[in-house]
Amino acid sequence: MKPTAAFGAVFGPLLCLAIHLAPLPVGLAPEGKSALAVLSLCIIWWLFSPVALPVTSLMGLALLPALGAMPTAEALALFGNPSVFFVIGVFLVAAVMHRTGLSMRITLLGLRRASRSEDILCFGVLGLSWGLCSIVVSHAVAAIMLPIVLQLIQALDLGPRSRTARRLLLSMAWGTVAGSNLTLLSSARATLALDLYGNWRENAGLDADPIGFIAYASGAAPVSLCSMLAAGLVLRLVFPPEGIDIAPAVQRLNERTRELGNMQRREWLTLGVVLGMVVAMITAGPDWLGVVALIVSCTLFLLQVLRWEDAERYVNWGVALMYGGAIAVGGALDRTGATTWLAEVLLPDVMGPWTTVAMIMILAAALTEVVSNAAVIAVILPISLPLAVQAGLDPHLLVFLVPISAGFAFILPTSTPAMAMVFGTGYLRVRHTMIGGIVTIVSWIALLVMAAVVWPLLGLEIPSGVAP
Amino acid sequence: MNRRILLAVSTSRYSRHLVATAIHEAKAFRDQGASVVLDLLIVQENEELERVSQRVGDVGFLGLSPQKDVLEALGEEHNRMARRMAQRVSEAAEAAGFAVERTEVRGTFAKTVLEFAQTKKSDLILLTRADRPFISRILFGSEADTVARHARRDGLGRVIIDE
Repeated sequence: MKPTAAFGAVFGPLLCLAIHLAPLPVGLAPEGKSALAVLSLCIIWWLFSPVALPVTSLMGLALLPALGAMPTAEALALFGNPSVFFVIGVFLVAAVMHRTGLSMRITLLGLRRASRSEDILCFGVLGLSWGLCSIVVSHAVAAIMLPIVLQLIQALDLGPRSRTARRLLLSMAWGTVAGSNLTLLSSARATLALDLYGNWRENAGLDADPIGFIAYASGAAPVSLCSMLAAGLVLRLVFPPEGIDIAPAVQRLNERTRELGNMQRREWLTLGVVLGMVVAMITAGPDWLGVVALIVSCTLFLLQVLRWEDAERYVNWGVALMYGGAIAVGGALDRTGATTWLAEVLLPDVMGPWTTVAMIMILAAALTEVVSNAAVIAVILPISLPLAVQAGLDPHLLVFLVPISAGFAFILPTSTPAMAMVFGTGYLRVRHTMIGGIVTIVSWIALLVMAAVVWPLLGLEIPSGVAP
Repeated sequence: MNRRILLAVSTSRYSRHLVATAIHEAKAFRDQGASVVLDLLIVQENEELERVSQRVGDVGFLGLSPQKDVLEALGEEHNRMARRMAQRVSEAAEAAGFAVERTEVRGTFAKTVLEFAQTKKSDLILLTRADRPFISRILFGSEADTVARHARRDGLGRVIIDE
């Protein structure tokens, strides 16, 4: 075990125990204190990873009744959430796109068109990585794109200090990072946020406020587009073209496309089913997203474009445990009143709505550089919702703000698998990706402009002035 | 008299200056009348690649098949970089009139270098630090420092860390 993991393994339970045994603060129920103790363990373990992320979620789930935060049946019921099934569907769609080679074909065709110059090729990698995320979960897109980008680098015989190699790799990674904010299918964190928000409204006795596929995309996609454009511009300025002849790359792309041959029946079927799924998700309404995802998944098996062995080989099923557990821990914080108490303690009286928004955005973006962004949502959103109410914000806004901000992972290799992959090639060091800070800042500005100008048109308004 | 210089590199631990230093030291040995062999050890730090691949599964929640694809793609690229480095070193050494014996080994950097130096009875070990942030080196230690420490303790050859 790495020293940091060993530290987390010991410190997490100690902190949990310390909070559990500490005197009860004024305004906090004993159940709330227990829920905070569980949360502290989860935060430390998600941060230092002494065990796999899903194991931490399971531990959190088990500790909720064990420490008296809520009855066993209630805690376990939180696990069986519709979002978990939606996430399963999202990952199965990514699996079938990968398995049938459809995503590879789309990528190769797109890149062949973009193979006109070094500049256009790099923009092509960025744009395709970003665009594919609209239907395939972003981590899967990165795994599909990496071998292709490395083959381009090999075909061009680029060296370890090549600007073009660095630009191609970062175009892929930043394309998927920006693309992870495109739609509900791009990453599972938006679904997690929707679910935690739904639980919070239910606990607060508020009417349901479901957010559908189009509503989410119309709020998130413009920010995602701005991030992608900023990434392209920054990469163009920092890694200008080297004047390389890209003919060998074009030849390699042509060879790969020839190897794929004509589009197979299973690819057509996959394309049809996935397009059908998108249409169904748009038309069926927010409550049906999980059901649509499951029906589509089963259809893929029925049409035999996906076999169960493929589902096992292409998906890490820990994803269901991770999200189920995270939803349970987040839900417990709400139900026990821990988040409301925490918000009262954390939020100074003078903090206005915009300061609150900025604080939440910065916290989410900073945490996402070092911890899984699903964990960031599970920790930040339940605390942010009562904070938002206290600051006079529409809590609906946070369903966009938190997952989008948690997606701005442009700098460190610890932030997302895509960044870990490009660092793993040996071409990049942190000093090269520090420029990702510029992309993050541009993305924040885009997010704030959206929040101030565009989202009010969708019924989301940030009131001005100091919180009541 | 025979002298062996061990030049240890990996994808993240290579610099032109390191190669120049190795050739400079080889010339110094030759000037003392020794016959010099330059051992080029290319360490493929597979543990690092496996960590990346594992992250694809642990954090990205992708299955074993995409993890394997990522590992293979990274491994292939690291092999290419190793071939490239070897070619550069061979060209520079041969131009200076030294023979190069090349070895590629998979493993952790420090352990592999120390074992190799022991086997070959290297008189001089040359290596460079991985290009990592200073804070990370302080927190998690340095493989280059480990090589220097163990080489001193075990009475292996002199170690030069190219900063």
